[in-house]
Amino acid sequence: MQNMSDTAKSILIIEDEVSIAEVFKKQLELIGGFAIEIANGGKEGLQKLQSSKYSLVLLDLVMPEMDGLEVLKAINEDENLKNIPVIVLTNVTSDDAWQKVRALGAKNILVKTDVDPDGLIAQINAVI
Amino acid sequence: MADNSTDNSLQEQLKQVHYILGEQATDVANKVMSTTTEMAPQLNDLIKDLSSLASKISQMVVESKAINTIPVGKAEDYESVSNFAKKLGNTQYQLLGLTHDLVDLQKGAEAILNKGFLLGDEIMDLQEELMEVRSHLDSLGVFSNNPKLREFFARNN
Repeated sequence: MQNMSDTAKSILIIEDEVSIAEVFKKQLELIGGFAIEIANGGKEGLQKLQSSKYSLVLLDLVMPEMDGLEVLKAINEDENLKNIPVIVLTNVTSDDAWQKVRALGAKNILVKTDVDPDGLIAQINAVI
Repeated sequence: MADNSTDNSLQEQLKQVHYILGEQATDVANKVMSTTTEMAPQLNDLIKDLSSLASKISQMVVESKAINTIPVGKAEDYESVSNFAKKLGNTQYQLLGLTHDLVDLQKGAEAILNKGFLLGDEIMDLQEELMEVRSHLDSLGVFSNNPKLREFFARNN
């Protein structure tokens, strides 16, 4: 397993809509100074997690093929991954979804359209 | 040995069970399979379309917040757009739940179909055993002395 970056704290964004992921990537790199990688969907996200080392995962919830809850389960079941902190970044606000996310050990849940760059960076720094 | 009326009743019941499990249940399971097979990709496409729409809306709101370009007096409009994105997100989540339910339904239908096939195999095995018993009894000359038994095997041949 290789370190994504020796200097900056590395974050993996797992998101099926690359355009919104690019927006967060730009903000987190420019303002937060993080090293960001994007995985297009849950399956690619797990593959990247297994091959590189990340300080934190920003995870979307609704994704085709493998959704965020399935990714969280897989992370929990993997000895090498279960200690990586995960923040869920989603537009889903239903109680049912949030309860499941919390039960699966996510550190926090943030709503995409509610969070601003400073708030997002503060939440990330609070976790890593 | 059981008398004819018991044989007939048992036969009828077996036929009925065979019909219900082997045909009716299989029909239902097949229908479930074909419906869920058709529905799953359509649901996935719908989720992808909604996802794309929600993403564009989110992107607009997130970028505006980042560079403070929300015009004065337009904050409420952005709030409405943001709420719409959340509603889309929740709808997507419900659709996702539906796709998981469809997968479960497909697994159930598959199990019913497999059981139907297993039952068919068991009935065929039983028929083969019956043929073997008949052949054995025939070779011993049992049928020539017992017309009722001959009749029973003739019926079940």
